[in-house]
Amino acid sequence: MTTTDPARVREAVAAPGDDASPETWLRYAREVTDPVLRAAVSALHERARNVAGYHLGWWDEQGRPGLAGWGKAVRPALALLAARAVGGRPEVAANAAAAVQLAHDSSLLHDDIIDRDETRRHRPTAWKVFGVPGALLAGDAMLTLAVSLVQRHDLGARAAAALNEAVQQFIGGQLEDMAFEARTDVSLSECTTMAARKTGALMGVACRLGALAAGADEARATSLDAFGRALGLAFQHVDDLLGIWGDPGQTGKPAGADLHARKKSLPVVAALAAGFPESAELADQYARDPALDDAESLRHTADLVERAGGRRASADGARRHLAEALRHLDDARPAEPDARPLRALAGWLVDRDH
Amino acid sequence: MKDAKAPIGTATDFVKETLAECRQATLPALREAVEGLHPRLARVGAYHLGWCERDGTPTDLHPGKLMRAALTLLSARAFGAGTATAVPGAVAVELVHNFSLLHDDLMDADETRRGRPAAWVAFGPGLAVLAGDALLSQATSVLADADGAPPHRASRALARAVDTIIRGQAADLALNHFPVDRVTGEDYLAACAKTTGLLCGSVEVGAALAGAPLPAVRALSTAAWNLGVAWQVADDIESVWGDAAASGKPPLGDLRQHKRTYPVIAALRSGTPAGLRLAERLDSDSGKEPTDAELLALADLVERAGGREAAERSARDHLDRALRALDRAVDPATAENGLTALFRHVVDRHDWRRPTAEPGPVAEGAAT
Repeated sequence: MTTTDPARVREAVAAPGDDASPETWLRYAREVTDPVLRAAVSALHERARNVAGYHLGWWDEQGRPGLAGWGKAVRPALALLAARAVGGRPEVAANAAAAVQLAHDSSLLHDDIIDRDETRRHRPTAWKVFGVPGALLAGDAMLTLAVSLVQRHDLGARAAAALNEAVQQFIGGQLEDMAFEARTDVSLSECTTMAARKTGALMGVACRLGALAAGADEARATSLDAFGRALGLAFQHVDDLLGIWGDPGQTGKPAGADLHARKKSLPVVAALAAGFPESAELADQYARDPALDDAESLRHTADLVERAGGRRASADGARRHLAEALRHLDDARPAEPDARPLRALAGWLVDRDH
Repeated sequence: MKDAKAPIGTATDFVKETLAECRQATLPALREAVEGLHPRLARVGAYHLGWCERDGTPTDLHPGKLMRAALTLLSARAFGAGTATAVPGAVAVELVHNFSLLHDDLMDADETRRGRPAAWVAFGPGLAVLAGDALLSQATSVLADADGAPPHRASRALARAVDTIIRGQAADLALNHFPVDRVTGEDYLAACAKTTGLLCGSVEVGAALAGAPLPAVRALSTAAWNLGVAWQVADDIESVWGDAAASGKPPLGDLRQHKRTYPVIAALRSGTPAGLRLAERLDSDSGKEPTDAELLALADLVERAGGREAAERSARDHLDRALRALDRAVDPATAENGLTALFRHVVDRHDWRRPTAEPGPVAEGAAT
C-alpha cells in the first residue's frame, strides 16, 4: 500500500462489479480492510503494535516498511461479499472483515508459539523475532481488538457472541489438532470435525458478521454462516492437498513439509483409514523418525497417500463441501446478481493452486 | 472515613463476611463458565483456579478471595442492582483476571503460583496459551449474554479493561529493560495498569449493569484506579520489608530480580548519596546471584534514600484519593454495603506499615 497517487487509490477502492474476478475481489477486500486494521493496530501499546505489524507484513524486524501482505484476505472477502449477497454495499462490512482477520491472525500468532513453527508467509515467525512474551501479548491484544471492533460498530451483542463462539470452536479445533499428532488411530470423521472447528468456524462467522452488518435477519445470517462453514471444510481439504502436492514456490511451504511434520491432515487420515496395503505402509512411514526423511522418502510417502486413495478422497471432499456450501447460500435467499461474486469466490478457493 | 470508628477486628470480619458472601454468589456461575470450555481446557482452567489437581482430583484449596468479583457485585449494589443482575459481570472479570495470570506466568517465566506449579509448567505452554485465550473469549460471551441491549456499556467497559491490562503488561515487560537512571514514576504507573485496569473494569462493569449514571461511573473508576496504585505500591513495600513467611513470597524477591518497584524508583530519583550508590550497584550487575547480605544492603540503601518513606506516602495518598472519589461516586449510605471497607482492606491487608501494623489475613498469591 505504498501508492500515493490519489486517482489510483480511488480507482482501487471503488467496489468491483458483479462479474469481477475473485482475485479482483480479494484485492478489493485487502484494500478496504487494510486501513481499518491499521487504525485498530495503531492504537495498541508500542510493544504489541510492533509485533502485530510485523506479523501482518507491514514492516520488517527493524520497523522498515515491508512488502509482504497479510495473507490472501479470504475471510475479509467473505465478510464483504456476504454483505453484498444480502443486498448491502460490501464496504458496510469493513469492520466485520477487519475483526475476523484480527481474530484469525491472533490465532496464527499463538499457533506458531504452540507448534514452535519458525516460518510463516515466507518470513521468520513473530515469536522467533520478538520472543514468546511479545508474540503472546500481541495475539492477546489482537483478539481483544477483534471483539472491540465488533462491539464498537454495533453489530449487536449477537455478533460479539457469535465471534466468541467461533473463537471457542476454533480453539477446540486447535486442541484436537494437537492431540491428533500424538495418536495413530484418528478417524476421518474426527478429523473432519476438527477441520470444521479449526477452519470452518471462523469462515462461517465471517459470513455471518458480513450479513449482519448489511442488516440481514437471523435466518439469512445463519444460512450464510453455514455456507462459510462448509466452504471452510472444502478450503481445508484443498489446503491439505496443497500441503502435500502443492508447488513450494506458490504455497510458501517447503515440499513435503506436512508429511515431514507427520501432520494428520485430511488426505493422510483418509489414506490411513482406507485399509489398503499402502495404508499400512503409510502408517509405518508415519511412525518413522522424521529425522530420517529425505526428499526421496517424502515423495514416496506422498505416493502412498495417493495410492491409498487419500488424494482422491480429499478432492471429492472439497467438491462435496463446496456443493453443500452453495446449497446453504441458496437457503439465504441471496440478492441476485449481487451474490454472484460470493459464488465465484467459493469456486475459486476450491480450484486454487496456492 | 466511615468505618474509622469501628474496632479494627469488626471491620476485618465485616470485609471477610462480605467477600465470602460475594464469592458464594459468584463461584457456581464461574464454575459453569469454566466447565463450558473444551474439556481439556476446562481442566487447565480448574487447575489454575485451584479447584483440582492436574489429574482432575478435587482439591481442598481455598478458592481465593475473588476480590474483583466482589468489587463488581458491590458496585452494582451501590446503584441499586441485585446480585443476579451483576453475577455475569463478576464472572467475566474473574475470567479475565485468570486469563491474564495464565499468560503472564508464561511471559514472565514464573514457575509457581499459589505454591503449585504454574499451569504452563503442569500442562505445557501450548495448553496454557489456549486456555488463556478460551477464558478471555468466554468472559466476553458471558457478559454479552447479560448485557444484551445497546449500548452494551458493561461489555465495552470489559473490553477497555482488557486493553488496559494488556497495555500494562507490555509496559511492565518493557520497564525492566530501561536503564536504571531513566525509569520514571510515569513508567511505573504505565506498568501498574496491569493491575489497575481490571480493578477499574470490575467496578465499571458492576455499575454499568446497574445502569449507574456516567459521572458516578467515572468517579468510581477513578476510585478503583487509585486503589490499584495504592495496592501495587503496598505490594512493592511488602515484597522488600514485609514478612516473607506471611506473604508466601521469597524474601527480598523483587530486589533479587532487580524489579523497578516504587521504592527503588523513588530512591533512584532522590538525588541523595544513597540513591546514587544504589544506581551504581544496580548498574554494575555482575550477573551472578546476589547474596542475602548484598540484598539487605540494597534494601538499606533504598530506605536511606527515602524510597520506603516515599512509597508509604504514595500508598496512603492514593488510598485517600480512592476513598474521596468513592464518596463522590456513591451515596455514603449505600457505600456502607462494603465498598469502602473493602477498599481499605485491599491496602491494609498488606503487612507494609511500620511495626504497629495490624496483623492482616494471610496474603494470597492469586490476588496480585
